[in-house]
Amino acid sequence: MEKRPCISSGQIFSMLFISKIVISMTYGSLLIGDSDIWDHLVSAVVSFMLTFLIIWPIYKLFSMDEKMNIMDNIYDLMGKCGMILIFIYVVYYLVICFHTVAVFNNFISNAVNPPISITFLTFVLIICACYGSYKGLEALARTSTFILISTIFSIVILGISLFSCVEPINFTPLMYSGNESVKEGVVYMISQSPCVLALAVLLPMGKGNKKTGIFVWNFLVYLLFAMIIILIIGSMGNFVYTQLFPVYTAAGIGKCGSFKH
Amino acid sequence: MEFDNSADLCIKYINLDGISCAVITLAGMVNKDTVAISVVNPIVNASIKGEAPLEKFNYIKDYVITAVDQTQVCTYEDAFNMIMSGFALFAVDGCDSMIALGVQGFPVRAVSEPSSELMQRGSREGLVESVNMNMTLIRKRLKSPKLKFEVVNLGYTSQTAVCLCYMTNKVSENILNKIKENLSKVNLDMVMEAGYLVPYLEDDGDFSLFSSVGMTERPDTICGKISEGRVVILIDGTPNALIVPYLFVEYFQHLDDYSMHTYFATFTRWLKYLAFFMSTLLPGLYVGVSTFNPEILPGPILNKIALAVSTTPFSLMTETIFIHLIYEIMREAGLRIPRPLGHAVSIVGALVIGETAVSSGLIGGPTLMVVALTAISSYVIPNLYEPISILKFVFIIVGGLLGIWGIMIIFTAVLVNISSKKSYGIPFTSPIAPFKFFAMRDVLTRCGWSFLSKKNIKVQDFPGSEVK
Repeated sequence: MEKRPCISSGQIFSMLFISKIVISMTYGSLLIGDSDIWDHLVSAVVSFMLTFLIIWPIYKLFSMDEKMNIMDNIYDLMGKCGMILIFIYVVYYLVICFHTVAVFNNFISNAVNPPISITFLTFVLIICACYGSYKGLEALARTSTFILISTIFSIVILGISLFSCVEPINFTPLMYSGNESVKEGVVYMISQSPCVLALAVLLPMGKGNKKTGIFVWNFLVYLLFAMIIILIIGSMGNFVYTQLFPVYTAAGIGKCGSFKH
Repeated sequence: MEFDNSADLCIKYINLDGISCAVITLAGMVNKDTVAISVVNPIVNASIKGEAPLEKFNYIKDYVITAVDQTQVCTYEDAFNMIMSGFALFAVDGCDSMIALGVQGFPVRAVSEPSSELMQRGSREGLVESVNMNMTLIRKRLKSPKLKFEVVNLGYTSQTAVCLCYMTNKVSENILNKIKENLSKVNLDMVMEAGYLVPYLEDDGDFSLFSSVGMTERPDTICGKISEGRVVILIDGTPNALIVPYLFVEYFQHLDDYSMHTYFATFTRWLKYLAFFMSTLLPGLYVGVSTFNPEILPGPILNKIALAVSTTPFSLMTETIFIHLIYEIMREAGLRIPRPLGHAVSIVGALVIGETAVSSGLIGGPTLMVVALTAISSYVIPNLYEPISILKFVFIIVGGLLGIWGIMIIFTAVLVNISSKKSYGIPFTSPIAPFKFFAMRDVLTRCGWSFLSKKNIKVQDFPGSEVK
């Protein structure tokens, strides 16, 4: 089964970058497990390098035959027995989808006025996601371009508004309490990277320089993580450890000149 | 016999040395003076050579009739088509063909400025109902031999003349053939207006609120579009022309932009983008934020809204929907009402909605303000009024039921719908998605002519295009 490239590499990595940004907005120490967020700055660097190690076999498999994705390779190498692995892949993605929806539900019920019917909202979200899938990869890729522009704009606004609230006194020495938090951070960041495995399916769909795309995408993802950590720790200090979604809280306290909230 | 002695059928019989001839016209369709000077008088006064009917026919055709536009027709179908297009038919008894003479004289509206597409600095000429006149308006602006017009007749009964205009050196053959194929599938009895053809020109199974077929009444706009490789379709009997392919960004581009200074043109371009988002999202966001997330609003505004909501009997969502419906009713009434009564509608609207409803406490002032802003914003891009009208109701309901998050989800679904659309193999959202930085010179900004003139991009060269 050969896949014809229908989108560019830039579009693939834009989609993966947005997926990562959305999840990183729910980043917080309470969800991770009482970890010291400041040490996650080191975790980001470690995760950045580890991600390359994880992607390397995926890229090698892709370079063996650039027209086949991992599903095709499994079927080609293992025949009908490979369907079991494909089934595991499908189940894995379903679990990731449920996890994402659960995080979204958690976020909505904690950050938003409860009178909204969370179940109905989740149902609408799933319908919308199915609609996107029905419309196809090209539609999703083009939609991601718009969302990427608005997301980057929002992050820049958030960064500018929080920058004035950053207090250097909130920063403590890195790994002050040992390296446990670093390990927890690495595990969290790597576990929140299902898009790495999505690459195994999407790589044949894109045309363009994929090596550069992988490097830039990986770099930007962990740069974003590092920026989030610096801004929320710098602006909120120890208050961040009492918040379920500190990024959301930080958006509420940011100000830019006379513009607040 | 076909016309069944219709009152407008005129037949002038002429006897040429025992051979019966006739000039057949439809009253009101021809210029009687031209018929008399160019057709009847020359035939009557000339010395016709030839004995057989065919010889006389050929002699008259080649040496006697002085009308410039002459076509020989050999079938009844062509003959009926010609006579009902304002041609005069000359027939000789014993000949199996007729001569159709272009002596049209039916009433045509004078060329005037189109009321729906006003320009500050551009031409004041707009298309008219006659397709021949429209072809002239285009030809005199685009003095290129590569400009081509192709006429087809659509509508089983109406046989409406539909003219395809394009530049042979710019248009994509694939797109042109696809358009012709789509037009051949038109199975209508009557084609009375340009909008009748729009569903046939869009992609099959493509359900979207936004149309990938553009419309214009301006010949200068048509010339601009044709020079980019597009095909424009003129329809006889309507001053609206269709433009295919048509992309989403073109809804925000106007010919006036290119006659203004770069900085101001860019400013107005961004105003249009802002107006689009305001007209679509503002009512829904107002309802969603005020109902579920009032903490987002600054204190003074929140107090005003809270006061208004507390003194009105309806929920914010109901109130907003109600006022928007009233506005749509007034807008529709304003379009259909006879002009002498137009002032009465304006007064009733201003008094009833603007003054009485607010002072009686039925609706709140902030809601009225939002509706007014939405209405004004929607008229900045009149071609998008239809999808905006529907979308704003959708977002009001979603905002009232699910808040900001619901609006974001539905907005994403709308975005997916727009992004999945194609116009003859070209992504509807091109050149924003797929992104092409060079094309942003006329999307995010309106660069100066020294930059715009560097490379004339044809529509089939846009990123993501499947046609060449």
